[in-house]
Amino acid sequence: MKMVDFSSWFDADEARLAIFSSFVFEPMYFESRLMRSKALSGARRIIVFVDADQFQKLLTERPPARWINQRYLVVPVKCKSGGVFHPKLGLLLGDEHARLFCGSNNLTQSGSAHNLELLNSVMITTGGDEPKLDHLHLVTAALAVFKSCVEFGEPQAAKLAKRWLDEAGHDFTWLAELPARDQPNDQLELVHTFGGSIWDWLRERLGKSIPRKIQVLSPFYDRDLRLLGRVRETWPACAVEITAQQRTSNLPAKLLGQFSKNVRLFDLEGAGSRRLHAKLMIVTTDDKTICLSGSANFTTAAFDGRNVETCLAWTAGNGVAKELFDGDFTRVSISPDEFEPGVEQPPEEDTQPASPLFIKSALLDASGKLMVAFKLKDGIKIDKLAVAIQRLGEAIPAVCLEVKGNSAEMAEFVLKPELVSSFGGAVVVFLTVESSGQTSPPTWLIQEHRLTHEASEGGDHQGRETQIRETGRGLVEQLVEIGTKEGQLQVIQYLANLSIRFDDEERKKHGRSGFRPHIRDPYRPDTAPLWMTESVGQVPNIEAAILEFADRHERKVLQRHANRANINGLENFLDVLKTITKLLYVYWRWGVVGKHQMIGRLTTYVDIFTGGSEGDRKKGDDYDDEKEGPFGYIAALCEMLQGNFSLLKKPFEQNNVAGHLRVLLLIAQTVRVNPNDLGSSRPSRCLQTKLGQVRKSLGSIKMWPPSSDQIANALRDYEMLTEDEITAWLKEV
Amino acid sequence: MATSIDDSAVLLAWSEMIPATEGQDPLGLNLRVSARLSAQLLHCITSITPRARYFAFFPWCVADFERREKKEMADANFREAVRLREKALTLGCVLHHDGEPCQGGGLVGSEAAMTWLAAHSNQTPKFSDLKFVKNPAMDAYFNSMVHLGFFVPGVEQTSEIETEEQPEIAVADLELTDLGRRVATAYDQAVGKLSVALKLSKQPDGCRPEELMKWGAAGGLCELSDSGAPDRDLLREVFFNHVGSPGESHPFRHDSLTLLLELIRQLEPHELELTPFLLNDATYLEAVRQDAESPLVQIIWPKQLHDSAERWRMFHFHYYCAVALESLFVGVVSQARSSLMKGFQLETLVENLKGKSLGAFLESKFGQKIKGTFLDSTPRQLFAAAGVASPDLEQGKNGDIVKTLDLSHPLSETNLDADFYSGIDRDAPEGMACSLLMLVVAVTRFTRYEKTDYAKWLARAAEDPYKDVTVPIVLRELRQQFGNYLDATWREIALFVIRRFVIRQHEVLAYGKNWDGSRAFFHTEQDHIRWRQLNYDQIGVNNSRFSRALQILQDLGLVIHDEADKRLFKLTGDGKVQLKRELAEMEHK
Repeated sequence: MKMVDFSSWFDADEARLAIFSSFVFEPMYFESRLMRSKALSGARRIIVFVDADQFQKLLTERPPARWINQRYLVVPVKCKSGGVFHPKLGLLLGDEHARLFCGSNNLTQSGSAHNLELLNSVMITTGGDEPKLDHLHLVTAALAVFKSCVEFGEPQAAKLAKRWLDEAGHDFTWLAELPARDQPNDQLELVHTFGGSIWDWLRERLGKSIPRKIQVLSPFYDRDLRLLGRVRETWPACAVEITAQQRTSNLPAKLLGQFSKNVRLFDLEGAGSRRLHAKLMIVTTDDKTICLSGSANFTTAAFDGRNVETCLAWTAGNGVAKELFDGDFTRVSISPDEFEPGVEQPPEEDTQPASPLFIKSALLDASGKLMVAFKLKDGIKIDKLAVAIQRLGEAIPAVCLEVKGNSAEMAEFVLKPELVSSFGGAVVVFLTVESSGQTSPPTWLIQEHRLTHEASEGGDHQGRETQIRETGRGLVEQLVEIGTKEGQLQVIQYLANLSIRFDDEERKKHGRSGFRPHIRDPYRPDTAPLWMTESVGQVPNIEAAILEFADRHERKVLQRHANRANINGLENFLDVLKTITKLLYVYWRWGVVGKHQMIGRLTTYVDIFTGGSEGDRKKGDDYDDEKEGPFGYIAALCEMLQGNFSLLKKPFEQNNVAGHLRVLLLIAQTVRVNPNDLGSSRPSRCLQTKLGQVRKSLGSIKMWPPSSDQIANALRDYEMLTEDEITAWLKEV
Repeated sequence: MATSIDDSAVLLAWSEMIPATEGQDPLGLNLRVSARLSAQLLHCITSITPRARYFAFFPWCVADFERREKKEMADANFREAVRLREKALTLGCVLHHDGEPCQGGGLVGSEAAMTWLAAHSNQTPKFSDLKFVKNPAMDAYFNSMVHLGFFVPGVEQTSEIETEEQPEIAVADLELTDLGRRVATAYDQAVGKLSVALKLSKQPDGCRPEELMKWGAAGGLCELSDSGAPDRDLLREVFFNHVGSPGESHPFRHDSLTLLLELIRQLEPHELELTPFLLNDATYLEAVRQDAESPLVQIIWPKQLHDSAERWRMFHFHYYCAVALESLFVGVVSQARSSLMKGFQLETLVENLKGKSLGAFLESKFGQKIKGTFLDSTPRQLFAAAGVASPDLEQGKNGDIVKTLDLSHPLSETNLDADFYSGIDRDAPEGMACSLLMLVVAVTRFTRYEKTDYAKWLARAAEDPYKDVTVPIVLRELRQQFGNYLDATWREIALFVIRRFVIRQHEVLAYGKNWDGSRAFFHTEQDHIRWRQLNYDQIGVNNSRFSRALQILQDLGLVIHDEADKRLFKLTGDGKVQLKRELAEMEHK
């Protein structure tokens, strides 16, 4: 008896494309456990096919889900034949490997961590010294199964999934390049009901062989044991052993009496609170033993192909069943009269009453076009129908869009970019009828443009985060990425929680590089939290967050350096100066930060850098180390070194202080431009007083004027202008 | 077994069960919300820092180590030095108290010290071999001392930066601030000239019992309350925030301690025992009483303490929300356990809320038989039966509920809470109905305060509405679900509340610390909730800092037990002066 932790299979290798199918799907388990795994956390694309009725049922329960249809795509699949979509198949495709799962477990917490399930998995490796390609045909077959799922999937989601699956051929070239191997008859085989019924497959596989014994392990059976009846009818001499668990299996044991003594019943012992959900059929003939293990219960719905099922089949040695029950739990013979069945019914009998109005799917594409496919029950009276959009964490929908005419059962809208960019995580949409207040069950918006996760997005995240906290470098790019992936609310929270470190190497000077106690003040202000204030149609105020971030770093870092006048802090001073200047400038160019917020701040930075024109010293709050003296970093440094400029020369040159100071002013001048005013129609004409201040400050340390190279290098340091733009800017100096 | 066709295939492997691990705080109501509120209200007084004298003793240890060992011995080990001094003080105190620990809670390691002393009376301890505890008490007190400003913090750290890292106090260069040095010097005046203080650094195994006893007499925990203790006045200044401790939360501790002094003053004539429940009533309902038969005592807070009292009211709003939801959780776990393999559906559990015992319970609450069944009635109907004519959900219009459901009313939250201590099982139908009533009463009462800054402050404690639950979130979602929930049936409310705030909340939290969800007490699949072999019957929400704050006030000599009735507290002369001074200063500000 071997035990395997299902989720551990996700902790070995990174996948680029992951595809699953499951009858029941639990977003919380999937996101909390599997999405955090090595296999899925960096996966480029993830698709989950689920039974459409079960998905509708899930929607009515409003389970918490943060990333559904935003980080991974869920495709509801409807069986046309009256059965259910029941396969439990998984495929992880990496650059040089593939792992396939085909077992009895759904993608749920109980299916993965509590029930008694039977798991099967094969691994393919294409790289390295010893590629293992024996089961490559299973990967190809699984991809074909998933392509078949697409045909029965909800159209909008399925269309997207189809494109991804088609692209897999290009993305994983080894799938096509590797030689197809002849499949031996006793080799592993993926059996599914897209190609016909499992019953027919079994008859074909047996050929002329007649089974001596069939052993069945299943939680669910036909109410009238029809499949068992067929087995007995087809192979009257064949012994049948059924293993079921009392109080959970629906086996109508009392009906077993109609069959001969050749049918024996076994109960499970020692399983504790674990529910038997495994499905297995072992067919023994005179010359071979065939195992069939996967999603198929011992029902006609599963074996006749009404359900969509997937199983692995192979030829095994003797004693397979015995070895399954030789550990903690065993099977014991039980009289059918003693067997107490459970109340749960087979999946095909678990139906959900249809809602009078529901959304089949809602898809948002990269251009901001929202397409909502919906269904209205015949006869339902609707005067004014609207689509409500509710962002993650909101109590009330942010937006309601009126549907103009509902006969086509498809509505299209164009969403404002600021609304789209405010979507952080999963977004819920539902229909509302104004007159009656009736609403449809909610569904999750498919955010197409966010579903493909490129490797660079998560690449060396820790290193980049450290760099931002140490130097500020990469902040704007990080904000853009967060905004794209998680929305503007997350950008605001990120900015609010980010503090670029202050550093003037005082600690090293005092030999205190070791342990320092840290303060965590539990103080919370009496203001409403973000989740309370950001609601009903409000677009998050990113401008305020940027200004708060800039002002905080002006006070806590720039001003503090000016006050402390330590040359060892020069690099940190410039890092933070560049970071907040770039942040303001980029968001000003994007129209997020107003011009009126820019000039005052940028000229203040010039003052803090140089010493200002008024000599009006500002106090850095929270610090008690202010001293009387000149205001401004350069001025304070000059005083500290008492005119010994040679000590400043080297670090100033190394850090290109002259270039950076001039560029700071140049950015301010560029923002200040007013094309309608001759006096400020070009950057070079603006802020002449400040220019004089910069000239004087750099002149006092014999660094005026900075060279074109120094200015160009400083501009490049910002990493926000093209070379053409830099050339144009230099003309304004 | 697992059949292997080759080593790249695993076939017929049984799924491994992720074992259930013991989980406290299953809905996150304690650590994720309550602890955040109390951390601000009683900043630096934690459940593991009950004794004020330690706050002087440890800075002294650091100063004494610097003075006697660090400069002279290159290999001196700071942690061992502190451990040594702790052992000596522990034993000294036990010796001073004739083999007993200090009153009000002995030093960490007192039990082991008493055992050692019983076996080695009159022997000189060999401290280098003795070990009373695994971890020194300084570990527990360290963070509080850092926040009070005794040690120099990291240069780049400011109050807005939070870190999850827990410091390890293992390095020698921990640096005292001026305040830390003042506190250390004050304690040094008590013990610095004792022979044991000199011996510990150079001859630790030569400290004789009579020398240690002197240390216990001069520098022990309960001796701080003596008027001659040289560090007492300074520690009072520290705890009442008159020393410029860094950060913004210290004024809240000041106000809470002053509020406790004021409450003790008001309770003294009525001979009422100050318990967490009484603090609860005093701030939540502004009235107290000993028991159901006792007369009500109105608590009138001076305007200077209005702010603190309101924050404690918010704390107790969350308390009742937590008691109600955790009690419902007990009911769910109990049902799952009794349903065994079959599991149960939530609807089944809710439909159980009927029967004679529930009828009798409701009759006791409302003084009359309730028409119809509990599940088919609405909160509005039950409020009407309770005498609340107009429980409107708008601030200012629902004065009725505050006025009517006072401390004497059987339906007030405090009396519903008391029912759990008088024989009602939380998992019985009447227990679950009691929880639902408590939640809805608290949420409806909260509507009167929801627009205030205090309500926003409470809401702030819920940092993530996906994972954190407190009253504003429950109210918000009830409104979202029902519009006016007062007109929803209790059946609808029970189904929604249990599904959203108990079952789903627990499932979300089960992944909080362990990705594998092993902290789950149950799991659901296809509507069925099944047990995962863990029991839960401990309601975890408590106010553990309250008793610690009372102990600190006693240590500081501001509060004492009544000699005639040890359950009762009263202010000392100094306590009265301190209260007057603090109120006057607050008035001035």
